[in-house]
Amino acid sequence: MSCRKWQIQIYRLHEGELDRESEAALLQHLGTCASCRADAERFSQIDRVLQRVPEPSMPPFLAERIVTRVIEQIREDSAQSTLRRFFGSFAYFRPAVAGTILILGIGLGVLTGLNLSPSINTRSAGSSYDVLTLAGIEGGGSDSSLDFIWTDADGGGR
Amino acid sequence: MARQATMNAQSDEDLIQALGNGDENALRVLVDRHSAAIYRFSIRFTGDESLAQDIAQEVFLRLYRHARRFVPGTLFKTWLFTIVRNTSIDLARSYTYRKAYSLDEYSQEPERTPPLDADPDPEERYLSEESAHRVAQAVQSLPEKQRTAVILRYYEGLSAREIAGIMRSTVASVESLLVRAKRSLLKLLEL
Repeated sequence: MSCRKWQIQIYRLHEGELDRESEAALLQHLGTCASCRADAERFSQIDRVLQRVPEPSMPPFLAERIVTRVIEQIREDSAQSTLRRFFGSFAYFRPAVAGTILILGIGLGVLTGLNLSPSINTRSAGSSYDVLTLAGIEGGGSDSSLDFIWTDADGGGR
Repeated sequence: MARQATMNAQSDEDLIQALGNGDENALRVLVDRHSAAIYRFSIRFTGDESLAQDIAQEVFLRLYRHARRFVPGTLFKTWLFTIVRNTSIDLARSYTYRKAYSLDEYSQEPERTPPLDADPDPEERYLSEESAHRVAQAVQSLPEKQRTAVILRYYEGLSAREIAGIMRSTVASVESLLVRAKRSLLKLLEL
């Protein structure tokens, strides 16, 4: 067994976790190995040093601060779950509501379409002035307002 | 009042289940029982009072949020310190980041020393406080796993088996960590 392995046994000896047989083997090794004997002494020393550090005391206000913050969270969660329960009870109606909204939307679309179509269909588009007719400028109307249609990028006319 | 007394007699396992159902009295009893140990761990782990207070608060918030995940029959102390360790790591990491990249009051706060008590021998008192401070600093400078193992073993009195449960490791690994920690401390403290 290497000295590094013996160090684990020294730790166990200090913790009182070695069985009698392992303890005897370790003590025998310590009798012959000065390095491990020194480690055993230094490990005891560090145990004592660690115990010298005083226990830090908790600030007196901390417990109340913790309780206040967690209770705040508990109440917030409780309020949210009440709302969730309330709206959750409508869960079964969701498909029906979605269906109604869809039908209403389609209905509105159809009605709007019916309203618009006569105003377009009653205008009879002329054979040569389709655009002008649909724009509401028929026959004698001045087409000067439609110059933009005929004006090219260089400002030239038709 | 009677309810509080009944709560005081209950086990941690029962209290954590009650806390999961939003029981405020259960919370108070758990804070009374465990906040000091949580604070002790976190201040030894980080060496910063403000951060240790934040960690203690966050631990109880996490206890409440995860209370329903507590499996009856599990050792409460192991479960608690697993949360304490994880919270300490998480908050210490974000705190270090904040401290490094901000100029807020936190980073400029002077280091506070513990209050002096009435001791007949000022020199002896100074020496012992000085050495205690050095030991605490040496522990804080250990790698995270060694630090956790040392704090839990030597200050909270947990067994290697319990520490292995908290660190999701084996007893042999924890023993090895403790031996390495001792060697590091010997070097750091020049003993």
